[in-house]
Amino acid sequence: MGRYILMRLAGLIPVLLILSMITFALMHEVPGGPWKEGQRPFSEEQLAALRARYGLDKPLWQQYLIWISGVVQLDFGMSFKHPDESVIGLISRTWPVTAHLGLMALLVAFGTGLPLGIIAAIKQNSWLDYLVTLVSTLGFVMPHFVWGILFILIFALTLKWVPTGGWDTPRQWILPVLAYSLAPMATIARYTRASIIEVMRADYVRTARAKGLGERSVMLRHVLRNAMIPLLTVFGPLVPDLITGSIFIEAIFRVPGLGKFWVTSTFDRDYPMIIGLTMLWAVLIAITYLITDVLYVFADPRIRLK
Amino acid sequence: MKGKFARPLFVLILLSLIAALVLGCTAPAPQPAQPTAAKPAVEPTKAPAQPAAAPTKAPVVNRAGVVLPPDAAPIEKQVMRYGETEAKWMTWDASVYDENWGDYVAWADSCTRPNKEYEPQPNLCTKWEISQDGLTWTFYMDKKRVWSDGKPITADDMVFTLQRFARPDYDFEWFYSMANIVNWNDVVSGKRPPEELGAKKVDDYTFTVTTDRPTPYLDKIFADLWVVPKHVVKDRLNDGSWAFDKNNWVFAGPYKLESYTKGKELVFVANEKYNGPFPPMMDKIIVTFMAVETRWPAYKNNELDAIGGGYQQDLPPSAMAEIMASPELKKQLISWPNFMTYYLFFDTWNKPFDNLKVRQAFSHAVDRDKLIAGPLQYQGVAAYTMNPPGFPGESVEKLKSVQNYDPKLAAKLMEEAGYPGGKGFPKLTLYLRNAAPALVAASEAIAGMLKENIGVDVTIQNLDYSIYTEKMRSQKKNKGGDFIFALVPYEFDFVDGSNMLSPWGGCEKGGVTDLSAMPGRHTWYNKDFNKLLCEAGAVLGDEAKRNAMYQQAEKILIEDVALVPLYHPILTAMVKPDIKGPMFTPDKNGTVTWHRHRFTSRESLIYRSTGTR
Repeated sequence: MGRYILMRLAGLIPVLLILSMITFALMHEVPGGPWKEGQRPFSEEQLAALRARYGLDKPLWQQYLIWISGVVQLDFGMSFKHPDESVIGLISRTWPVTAHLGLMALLVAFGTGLPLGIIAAIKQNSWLDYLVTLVSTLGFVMPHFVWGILFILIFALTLKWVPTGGWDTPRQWILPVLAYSLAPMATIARYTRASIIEVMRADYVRTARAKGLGERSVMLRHVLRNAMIPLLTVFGPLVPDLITGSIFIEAIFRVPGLGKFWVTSTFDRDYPMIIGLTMLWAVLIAITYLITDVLYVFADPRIRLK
Repeated sequence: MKGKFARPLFVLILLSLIAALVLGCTAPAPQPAQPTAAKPAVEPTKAPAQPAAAPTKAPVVNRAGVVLPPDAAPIEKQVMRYGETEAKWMTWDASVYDENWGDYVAWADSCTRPNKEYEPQPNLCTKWEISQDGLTWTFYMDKKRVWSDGKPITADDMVFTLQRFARPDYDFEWFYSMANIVNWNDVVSGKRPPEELGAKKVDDYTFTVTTDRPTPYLDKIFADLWVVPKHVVKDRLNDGSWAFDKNNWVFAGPYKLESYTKGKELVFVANEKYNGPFPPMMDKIIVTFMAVETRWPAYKNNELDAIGGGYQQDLPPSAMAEIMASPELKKQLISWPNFMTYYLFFDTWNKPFDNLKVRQAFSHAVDRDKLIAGPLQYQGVAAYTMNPPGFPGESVEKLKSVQNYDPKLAAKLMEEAGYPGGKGFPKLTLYLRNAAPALVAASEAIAGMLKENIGVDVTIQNLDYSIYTEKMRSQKKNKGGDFIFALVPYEFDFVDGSNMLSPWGGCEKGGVTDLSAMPGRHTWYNKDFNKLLCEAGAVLGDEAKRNAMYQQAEKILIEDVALVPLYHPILTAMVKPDIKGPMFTPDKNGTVTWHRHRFTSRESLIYRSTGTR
């Protein structure tokens, strides 16, 4: 398995190279630059001076080579939007906050989604099942920023239990974590329910019951374990998605995290940040899929990694 | 017995413990006898209903030693909390379009300053003279003014500031170019060294500025001459990153930056070294970085003390509707007209807008009143001119009828132009620049009016700032392209008749050889307009004559339908009712504003009171 993991990691290098080239070319294609023009557009001379300031006056291939030579030394350059911070520094400053929010949301999502899915499956077509379905559907269909605004309206403005935003105290964490966890909670609950129901109808479950195993053993040893295999495929990508943040949640609740940079770096033409984030996302996705593949081995003894 | 009484006894003991704990927390702790001299200088202000206590009350004094009015709340309450967007730079000399809050409240102070009537008043420069030929200005500086590190603010700093502003990668360079300072463009382009700029030190507290031609409004421009500390910045070409180093935190304004937490907040405190005309009243200012959409809920939840009054939509139409429906909230609202105009413009050098009748038809087909009553409710007043009401040289009343709403006339003009009922007219795209939802809605309404009144199909495209600017630039540079119909605002830079007409032209250098090289930012050109603007700019000491010339120029602009003015915005702000001070004194028109551009520091004119305003 070690060899398999190493091979997969090595295979990531050409993927990242190609991805960086495509991203580099695309982001430079978009008009504008990392400067703001006010009421009057810059003259050609001023634009030339600005391009020189940011090193954008060189041919694109040269800019790429300069960038890639920095990356080899783990230097992703300085952020254009935050001129006093390197890309690595900026990500190091903001990502822990986002990861903190994401992990708490993940805990809440799994902590509620899994039991809800299991209950709904076991009590299929009961009022409990319908209630879980209703909650899950609401979690699905309403975007988290709508939940966020709704929560602010109810819990901050009406009930005055918590502030409208901020990230300094645990009281300020409650609403963003809740709003952020609803959609993944719904995903987890729905897929868990569907997967368990499917496994519960399998022949080997009927056999387990026929040979006299107790319902508890049937559920824990046969149903849940087998139901986990398809769920791994669904749950895996939830992790990088949640720990890289959401611009909406972070903006609505004033969370000083990484989430907004996924969008603002493009608007600001912060090229080093755009490509830095793209690389981060690619690595996270690749590692997540790798971990998921490894977990399959533990969940299903029939699977072997070669 | 044990079993029978154990539980009630336990509950009783528990309740007693809780009661003791609560009482222990709430009851005043025994105080040791204190000599009267040991009393704190600032005591909580007594309620006005207890006059007997008033004589013993010590005045509230902030950390800069400023004594606040008798009704001031205790010093720990003299804090203002704002919500702002985090920007890239810290200071005015780095960028004017992407800088954090605090530029001219803390970092810098200006040569002159406008009063409530926008007339230049002394500030760092206490007086100024113009030479007989109108080309040389001499500025005399206040000798007692110092930076927060105690070093004097001198003429060296002022000359350095101008040299620093004359650099090519500075986004506000264009503004200072309007001062016509000798060799400005050559210094910007690097053809001449900065020492050859027409700004010279005479002695430590006197400097001169020489201009290419008489520039009667130079003292107004110098209200935005925000001094840069030469002894700290040193390199005039520094990109602005000098201000990120805490060792360089040197301030000229009434406040100073105490801390900057990236992604979270800026904290300013009163500058005890400030000795200018606007000593700080508020003791502390906390600027939290937050999205514009979150400010109204935060204000309602008492997490912010004032919102709005700027260029972001802190108070969207839904918030305004809520405010207007509540007498209590309405009392906290401050609204005032801004010198700004939103307008439609065309590429008048190409078909179909090279035809005056087409432009006239468009101007008569837009019902501004409907826009104001609908999507732009509470946000503006109908506009028919570039210069807004009250602006020097304005002709609002005289020109109002030139582009009045007249759908029948609009249809007739389209017919005369060869497009009866819009037949044969190309489908248009109306480009917007990073427009807020209300403006997008207004644009949709305009598209509807154009379809209904003159049969023209218009689709809306809301572009990001850079792409819009790039398209506008290339349309003029190439004298053609697809950017033929767009909407944009223009806000005044300084209150002078020349200013709001300047996007449309200015002094021509040499004969007309290339339209794309003509002054102004739009694809419209008029020789007489440029001549009037240029000549009016050189009239010294006769404001009435200058303004009459600007009126003539604007008549040309409006009659030629270079633009279709839509509305002049009304700025709105919500300010907590316990905030009082000279900021709320009305100007000569009875208007109260919350516009920090008008003063060196708004926070020097407000304090928190125990009462309400």
